[in-house]
Parts: sequence; structure tokens; C-alpha cells
Amino acid sequence: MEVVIFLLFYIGLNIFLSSLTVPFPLSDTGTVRYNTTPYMTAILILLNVVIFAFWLGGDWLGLLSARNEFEATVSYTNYTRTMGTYGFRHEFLTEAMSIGAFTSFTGMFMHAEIMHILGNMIFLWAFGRRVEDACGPWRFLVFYLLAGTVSNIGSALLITVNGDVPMIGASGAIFGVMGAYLLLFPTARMDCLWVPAMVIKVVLAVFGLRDEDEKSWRWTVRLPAIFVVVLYVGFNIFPTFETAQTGELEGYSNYIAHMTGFLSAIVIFLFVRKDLLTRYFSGRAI
Amino acid sequence: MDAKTLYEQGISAIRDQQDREAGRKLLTQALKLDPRNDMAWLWLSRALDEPAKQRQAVERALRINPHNSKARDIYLKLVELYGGDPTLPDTLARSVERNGSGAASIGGQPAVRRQPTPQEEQIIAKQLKIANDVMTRGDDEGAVEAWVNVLNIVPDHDLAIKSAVQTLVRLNFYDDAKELVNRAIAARTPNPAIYLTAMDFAKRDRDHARLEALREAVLRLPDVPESLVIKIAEDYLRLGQNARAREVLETGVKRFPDSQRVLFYMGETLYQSGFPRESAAYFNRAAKIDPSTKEGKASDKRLMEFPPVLSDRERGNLLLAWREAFGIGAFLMLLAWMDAGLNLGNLSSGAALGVFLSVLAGYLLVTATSSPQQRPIARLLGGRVPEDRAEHNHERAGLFMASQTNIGAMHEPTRLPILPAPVRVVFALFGIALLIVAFILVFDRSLDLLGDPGPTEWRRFM
Repeated sequence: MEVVIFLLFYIGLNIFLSSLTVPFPLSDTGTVRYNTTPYMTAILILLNVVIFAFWLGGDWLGLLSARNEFEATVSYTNYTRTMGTYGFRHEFLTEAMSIGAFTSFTGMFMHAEIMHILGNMIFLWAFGRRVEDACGPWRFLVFYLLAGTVSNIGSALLITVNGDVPMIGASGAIFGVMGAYLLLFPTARMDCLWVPAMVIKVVLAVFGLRDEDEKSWRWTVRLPAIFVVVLYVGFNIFPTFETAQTGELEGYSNYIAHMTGFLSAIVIFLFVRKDLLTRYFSGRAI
Repeated sequence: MDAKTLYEQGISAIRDQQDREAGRKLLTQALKLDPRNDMAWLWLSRALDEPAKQRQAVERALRINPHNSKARDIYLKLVELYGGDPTLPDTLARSVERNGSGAASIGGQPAVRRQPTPQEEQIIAKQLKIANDVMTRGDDEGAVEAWVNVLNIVPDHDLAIKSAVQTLVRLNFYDDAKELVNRAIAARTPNPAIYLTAMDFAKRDRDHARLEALREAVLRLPDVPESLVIKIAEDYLRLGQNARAREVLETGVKRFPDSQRVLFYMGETLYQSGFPRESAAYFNRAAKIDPSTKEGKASDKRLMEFPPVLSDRERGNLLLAWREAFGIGAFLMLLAWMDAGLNLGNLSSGAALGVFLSVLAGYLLVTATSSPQQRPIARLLGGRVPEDRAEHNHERAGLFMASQTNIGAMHEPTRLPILPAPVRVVFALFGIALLIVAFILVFDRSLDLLGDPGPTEWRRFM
């Protein structure tokens, strides 16, 4: 019970703190024109959650709730061993160990801790649904995996110093989805959690000033998707250049993977529906 | 001063003061304000000197009121004195009845227009010159007289009718203007602008029967412009006659199948009339013509409310199908490249074969699922053009839903052969099998490592 309360507090605090500074996209507001249910996005989220819950999550939780040093050591050992074996390491590629592609897959579905997976999955839900609608589920899956693969290759090529550090997480693939979303729907808007804007919204509401488009009160703010995506890409650009210059990974985030994943979005045109592609390149609304 | 006062003062000037000049001026002013006062025209005839002009004024009175017995008497007297056709008043009366309220004189195919003789051509040129000269001197009425002389020869002479009608309307001789227009229509002019003016007059008079007859007549004209078709449809929409507006626009679509405006208005009319699904086909056609125009953008905006439309061009395109196959191949290629240590030189022949097979597998899967109508493969493998399912419920639009349970794209009725279902099943199964083989070939060394329980460099974390 204590663990559950702690987790809820931990998640709430983290979301609050992150949305204090930057908008946290929750949902796309545009029309899903093919009226499809985003099965593949949901399956990918489910798969990530299940893998975390039944694989790395137990050890991570064990580490947090260890009652003694022995329990902590066991959990830590298991945790790092799983991550080191199935996470993506650059040396798998650079030393041609023939397991890089496999671990690129497994690493893409692994997450280090609960906020890591929660943040990634919220982003995948927010941006993925409409991209999946534009592609269809199977083509979306191939695009998602391709973006994740490109992001891993990008980081393997550009991070040359500490390539033994295992890379895990779906963020490279998700940045690819974000890039595809921006390419396909540049004028779209997103419902975001953003504390400063929410405070302003409440103050305005007190004075009777409300957004006329809003039929009922929402705590979220509606922002242009381009603003949200460019903001997140902006946070990654400078560390990416720095890492590309030094060849050394700094901190816990693999910015290079994010950026190469984002750039891989261009291949979305291999996977979007035929009629959508025709409309896109003939200047029509998609 | 109002028309009635001017009229009374005019009569007083003629009758009591014997001042015909003042009476003529006052009555002319009164008639400008109220040109349908038949008695004013009659009194004016008494103030005029020329017998021809006197007769014209009496004729006007009779056109307005054919039962004006005094006017008939004066007319007959004028005929007796100066000659002419004594039956004219009745003819005029019938003409008024006909032109004023019905469709009898409108419609049918445009008449074969008689070409003016060289002598008439000379008269026309001379009269037009006169009209131009007198207009520059500010003599509007003189100019109108010259134009009318032209119209007596060619009832729908472009310049003459346009100038005469504009001037008469400006001078408030509305009935005269209307008469000129009606004469041109009675002569079955093919000029749509004249019909448009007649429609404006009919609207002003609230003469709905005539308006309706004019609309029908104008749609039968060989050179009716699309703007006029749209205008007529808009009129019907304003009147709430949506079904009639649709009929007009359907005629327009047949006449102008590539007119973006007509297609857009057709879509919009259907949309406003509660046929949104049917409207999508017209919006789609309009948007395809040019998405950058006002109508193109508006059509595209409307289309955002509907599932997109798949056309034969996209369905039958071989390149679009291979594009997806290459996407799958590119993915496998990256995987193979990774396992070759990011060095294509290290790529095993098995992995290279796997990449090739993945492209082939991708193509088979794409063909089986989303592109079963590529030319020429569908024709080669016994494909048939499916029955036009549009007729069930979207006949007007020429669209149908792919399936209620499938993705919600709309399809145009296809003219392309579609691969038979058994062929597609075989393609799908073969594609899946090939894809599995491709993955095994690409992951060959990885699978060896995964299957080897012994210590490896990869497992040094374990």
C-alpha cells in the first residue's frame, strides 16, 4: 500500500514539475479522417507496459522498496544485468557482434523506471493515434520500428566514447512519430498540461474571460502542435551538437537518438496511405 | 414633389393654362417617378407636337392599361388622321399580357437570327453614331431613340440593348427598359445577359411565373455561362427551393463537368440540403481540379468532414504499391546493416537475400491487402471490374464506403479490375511466409547467439 501511495505521489509530482516548465502534450485534437481505432498504438503501449511491469519494473520496485542491503543488491544486479544484456549497446554494432538489431528491438521496448515509461507512452498516445490513422496499423508499426532502429543507428554512429552504456526506451521511435506528425499535420493543435498557462486560464475565467471555442471547462490548454514539437526538439538540439562534437554521451538522455529518430520521420511517406500521399503532394488538405 | 402632384399640375397646365410646354415638362417628370400611370401618358400625348411621338405615348398608355377606352379612341383618331394599323392596340395588349406574366414567349431553342441586310447594317451604324453623338451632348432621350431604332432591326443588338436599357433604367423609364428586354427575349435571343436582366426585372415585379420561365429558358441556352447557372441555383437556394437548385446544378455539372465552381456549388447545395455523403464526391472533384483556388480550398475544407476518397489513379498505381514494399525492405536492410557492424561489406549473402525477399514479401502483402488493383497485374491474374456498388445508396455522389467495418475510406466506383479473393489469399499467405524467411535470414547470426546457452561476449553482463 505504501508503495502504491509512493508511486502515485512520485508520478503526480513528476508530472506537475515537468508541466511547470514545458507543455506536456496529452492528446491530439484533430479529425481522425479514416475513422480508425488506433489498435497498433494501443498494442505498442500495452506491450511496453507489460514488458516494464513483468521484467524491469519488478527489479526497479524491488530496489526502491528493499528492506536491507541484500535485497537491494539482488534487485540492482538483476536490473543492471537485464538492461545490459537486452538494452542496446553501441559496441554490439561497432564490434559487429551480430546482436545489435535484436537488442535494438528489445531496447526499444524497455524502460528504466515508471516516469520514463509513463512519459513516453503519453507522448506515443498523443502523437501516435493520428499518424497511425494516416498509415494504417501495420504500416505504422513498421514505421515506428524503423524510426527506433534509425535512432539507435544514429546514436551508435555519433557516440564513440562510452558506447558500452546500454540504451533503453522508446523515445527515439516516439520522436520519429512526433516528426511524422509535424510533417503530416503541421497546423494541428494539441491539448497540453502546462501549469503556467493553466494558472492564467483560471485567472481569466475568474474575470469571466473564457475561450469561446471551449464548450466545457478544461484544465488543459490547446496549443499548436508545431510549438510543442519544436520546443521538445529545441531542448534536444544543443546537447545533440555537443555530443556529436565530443562523441561522448552526457547525462541520462540520449539526445542523439532523439534527434536521429526525429529526422527519420521523413520516411513516413513510404508508409502513409496512397490517397493521403497523393493529396499531400498535390497541396490538398489531408 | 411627388408624382401625383406633378401629374395634376401637368394636367392643369395643359387644360387650364393652355401651356403645353410646361404641361409636357411636368408630365415627363411625373412619368419618371411613376411610369405606370396610363392617364399621364395620355395627357402627355396631348402636349406633344409630332404625331409619331403622340402615337407612341398613347401606345404606352394602352400597354399599361389595354382597357383604357379614352386611349383607344385617341389611338384610333390618330390612325385615322395619320394612317397606321387600327388593330395595333389589341396586339399590344396581348403582347403585354404575354410578356408580363408568363412563359409563353420564352423558351424553345434560340431562333435562327436573321442577318441584317447591308442596308440595315448601314442604318445600324448610323443610328449608333447618332446615339453616341447625342449622348455626348447629354440628350439621353435622343440616344435612346437611336438605340431603339437599332433594336427595331436587331432586337438583341448587344451595344444598343445594353445602352438603351441602362439609360432607361437610369431615367426611371423602367417599363420601357423592360419592354426592350422582353422584345429581345420574344425574338429568342441567345444572349444570356439579356435573360439575366429580364430576371432582375421579373424579380423586381415579383413576377415569379415569368422568373421561373426565364430560368428554364436560360438553362437551355447553348452559351449559358457557369456564373449564370450558379446565380440561378443561388436564387433557388435563397427561396428555399433546394431540390430545384440541385436540378439546376446537375444541369450545370453536365454542361461544365470540369468547372470547379459548379462542382463546388453542387457539393455545397447537396451538403446544405442534408446529403453530406453525396456532396463529398463533388467536393472531391472540385478540390482535385485545383486545390489552391477559393473553391478548391473550400472544397478541401468541407472534405475534412468526410473519410478521404480513394481514386482509380491511386488504386491502380504500381509505384505506390512498391513504395510500401520498399519501406519494409528498408527496415530489414537497416537491421541487416546493424548486424553487419554498420559495414555493408560484411553483409552476409543470406542477409542480403533476406532483404530482397522482404521487399518481395512486402509487395505481395501490400497487393493482397491494400493494392489489389494495380495495372497490369490485376488484369493478368484474372481480375474483374467489380459491379458499381455506388447504385445502392450513393448513386448521385458516385461514391461508396469501403466497408462499414473496415477503414472508413470512400471509394469512387472503379473501372479497374480487382484481383480475385483466392489470389489475394495466396499472395497474403505467401507474403507472410516470405517475410518470416526474410527475418530468419537477416537475424540468422542473432538467432544463433540467442539459441546458444553458453557464455558469449554479448552475455557478459549476465
